[in-house]
Amino acid sequence: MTQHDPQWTSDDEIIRKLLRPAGDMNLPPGLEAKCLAAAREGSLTVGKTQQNLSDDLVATRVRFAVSMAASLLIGLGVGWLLRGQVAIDITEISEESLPTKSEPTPERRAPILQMPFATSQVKFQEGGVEKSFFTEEVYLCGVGRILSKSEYRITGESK
Amino acid sequence: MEQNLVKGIAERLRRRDSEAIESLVSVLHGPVYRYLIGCGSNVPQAEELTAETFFQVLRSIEGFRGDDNQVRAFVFSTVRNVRSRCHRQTSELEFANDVARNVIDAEELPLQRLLAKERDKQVADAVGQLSDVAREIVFLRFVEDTSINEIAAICDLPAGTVKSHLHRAKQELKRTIAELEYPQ
Repeated sequence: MTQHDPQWTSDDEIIRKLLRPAGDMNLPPGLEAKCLAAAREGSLTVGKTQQNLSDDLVATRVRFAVSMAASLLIGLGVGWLLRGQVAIDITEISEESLPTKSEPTPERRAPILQMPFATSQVKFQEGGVEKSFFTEEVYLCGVGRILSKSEYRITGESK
Repeated sequence: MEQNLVKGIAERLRRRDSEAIESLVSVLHGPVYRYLIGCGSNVPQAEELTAETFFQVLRSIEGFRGDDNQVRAFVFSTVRNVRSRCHRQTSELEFANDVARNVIDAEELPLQRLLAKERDKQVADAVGQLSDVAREIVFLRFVEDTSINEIAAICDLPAGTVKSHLHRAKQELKRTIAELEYPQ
């Protein structure tokens, strides 16, 4: 049996007639007004939701831009501070003042003399004496310099 | 019933046009209410769910991409979702109470009661014995004059499945009411 059979159509009509009372049922009074109020409330909810989403999006973008600008400024500030280093403490260390009189091995001296983390390091010779001056400073982003160490070392002959 | 909706209703609803909202509610609040009654909701529940349906329709209209011809199916899809969500939210205790009440008043479901008043108690029984999906399809097809394709869209089923449900339901109805006399 297909939908186009006369029998099918006849059955449809019979069932339609049988179910007609269901289609003619009375609706509760005030139902339409209640539905209209609900629909309007639903349409307003869409607007509020979109407004909230839009506000959140704007706030997020503004926060992101502000934080990026702040990071840039801090970076520039740190760079500016690092540009002009000032030695806070200068210590002269001669070979005699070393704890042991034995000549330190190159392996032991190298890290001290070379100071791989030194912010600045200057070596020069003066009167047969090798002098080195180095500064090591530690900066914390957003705070500034938190640690500074400067040394003035004289190595070589000491008479 | 479709032609009573204002022209361009889909687009106007997206813009939350007041006249479009009034037209939608005016045309479809009756069918939605009858559908809920036909699916077994009682009168206060059907009233509540009808209002909730229109709330949800307007709330989610932004996501509706169909044209004017699909607005009705969209509303019925929404009412199905609203109804099934309401059933899910019903507690186990309430469900048990409903079952008990239905057993006691087996013949007093709203649709059955309505049809019984019209001396077609056997028809009511026959409709009541159909499966939920079949009853829903029969109701949409014969009470709301909904097309097969629309029913398929509403129930989220292939058109062929809707047709076979409808065919089986009609066979069952025919068997049950075969002895009755109907005006031709």
